[in-house]
Amino acid sequence: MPDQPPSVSAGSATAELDLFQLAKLTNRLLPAALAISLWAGLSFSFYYHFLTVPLLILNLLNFSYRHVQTRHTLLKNFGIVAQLRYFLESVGPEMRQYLYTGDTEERPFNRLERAEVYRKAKGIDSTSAFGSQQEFDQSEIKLRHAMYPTPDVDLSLCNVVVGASRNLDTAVSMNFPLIISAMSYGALSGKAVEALSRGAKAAGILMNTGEGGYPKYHLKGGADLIFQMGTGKFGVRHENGTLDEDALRDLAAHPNVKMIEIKLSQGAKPGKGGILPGEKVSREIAELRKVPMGEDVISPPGHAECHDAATTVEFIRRVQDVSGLPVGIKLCLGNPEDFSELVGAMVAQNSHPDFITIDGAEGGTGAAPAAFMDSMGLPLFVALRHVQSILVKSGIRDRLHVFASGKLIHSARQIQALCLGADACCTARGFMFSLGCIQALQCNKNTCPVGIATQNPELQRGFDIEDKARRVENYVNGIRHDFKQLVAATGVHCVSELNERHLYIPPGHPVNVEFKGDAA
Amino acid sequence: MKKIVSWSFQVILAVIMGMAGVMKLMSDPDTITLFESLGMEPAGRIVIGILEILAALLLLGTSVTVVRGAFLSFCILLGALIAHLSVIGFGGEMSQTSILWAVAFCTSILLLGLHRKEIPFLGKAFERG
Repeated sequence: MPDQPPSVSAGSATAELDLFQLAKLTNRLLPAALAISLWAGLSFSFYYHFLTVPLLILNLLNFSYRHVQTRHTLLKNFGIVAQLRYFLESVGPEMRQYLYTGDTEERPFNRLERAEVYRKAKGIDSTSAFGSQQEFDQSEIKLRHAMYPTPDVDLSLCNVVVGASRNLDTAVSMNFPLIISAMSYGALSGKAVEALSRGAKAAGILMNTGEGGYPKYHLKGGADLIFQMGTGKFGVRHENGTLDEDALRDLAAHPNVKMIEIKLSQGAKPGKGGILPGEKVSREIAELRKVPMGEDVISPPGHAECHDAATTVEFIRRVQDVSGLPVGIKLCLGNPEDFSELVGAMVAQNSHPDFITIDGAEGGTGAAPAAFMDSMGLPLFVALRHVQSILVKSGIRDRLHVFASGKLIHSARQIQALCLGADACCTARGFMFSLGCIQALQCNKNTCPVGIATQNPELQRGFDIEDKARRVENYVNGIRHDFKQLVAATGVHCVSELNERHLYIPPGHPVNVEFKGDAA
Repeated sequence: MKKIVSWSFQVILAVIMGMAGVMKLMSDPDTITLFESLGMEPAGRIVIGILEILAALLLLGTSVTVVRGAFLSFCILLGALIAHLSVIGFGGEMSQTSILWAVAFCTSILLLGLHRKEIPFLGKAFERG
């Protein structure tokens, strides 16, 4: 007997719904129903035409799907029944988020992670019961506690003073190693930026402006700022995109601008520039960014002044000299060799930035091509270990500070970053959650339902600046509380005493991979 | 530019729909005669009048409601087309009403075309990809 190919519907023929047959039936029934309704309307009562009108529209739509449009195969083959797919697809993310996805399954942040930030932001007790929801499969880095915890930890004794190694009068003392990571006005609404700024001021932490030009809304809340200078140099640029020293000097003179961060690359899209479409360049954005209104604005992949390690260090020194403030760089690590070369140039020129922000590839942003977001750059912890190793080996580790960013929304992961060499942690999405972000994943569509990442005033209506500023402060205080307890549990007195010995890094974890230039 | 064109169409359509709705609800004798000839007096006249005023209000609302107002107007005017074709005709006493109908019908189609991507659920079919 010849082999029979297995029937697709074998064994379940009665349970299957043949959608193609259903579509065919619908496509025949629709004109029939229209004809009957029309006949009834003409023969019995005009009221039947209340049915005729929608049926007529459905028939027209079905006809256009099947015989006019050419973009969608499914609509052409199935007609209006295929619309069901688009409807279900459109409500899919919400349905999955609300009903089907488990507490630890969602990306980039699962429900448990988000809920923890919400609780902190609302000042609610975050004690859990009956054990951890995490899988203890030994693939995750864990903190090691001490046999004898420190009885009293005073975090205010562990100030990080940025710029101290250059004896700057403008050195900045951070009393808590947490920073609101770079988010510009434009990416976020003016209201969200102001709430963050007010919260940061109340909590006594620094806030990064993002590369959105003059930080008008960041200054509204009165927070101390790190001004970020991206490759487009918005707010401090000449028309050709190079640095306008006078503009930088003016900006640096503002009492709230405490540091400058030169962004070389960012975790979500390392090595990529961007285009701000002309229609988004409103009068206000054009003024803040110093670009022509209504024209496309291009952020190049790199700074015009930086061609190699030597010119990059020269540019950092130039910004330091012009601004008179502590100046740092932000980068996502690609090749540790490149970073090693940059550090070599710092040593050779006896010149170094005051801080280096290492952005993990897991970092988030409003919009980036999926290929960049998913596949480019080193993850934070791996990068941190390389950076720490290279800086220690070169002998300049104690002359600058390392900031870490990349999914550091929780105290435990922040402490882990500190153990791997960071002096302070930056988080953007953690603070977005504290503002009430629900991870609707629409930051790039101007449709953010909670008014944070949108410029639509109707969607910003429900956003209360005062209440959200309080939540930002609560979130910081919650993390401060956790830090005290975690630092005490590790048996040290200060976050600066933390190191790799306080971590359990499972064998085979990518953090353990060393490159040939790492210090022994 | 698109905004100005859209606003002009919205105002034209809202005025026609609003006026028609108000006349129906105020029991204008002409509308009563018309709906008597359709066999829908008075319930049909009142329901259509309310729908016309609702459409006018939606047309003058926010960006979200405009497309709904245009769609509702299109549906009402499609019903009116059936009435003109089957019972009341286009000429004679109906010529003025017919012209208004034609203007409103075309405007509603143009508005739907302008806002096609915002039509709930169906907008997807007009997107690229």
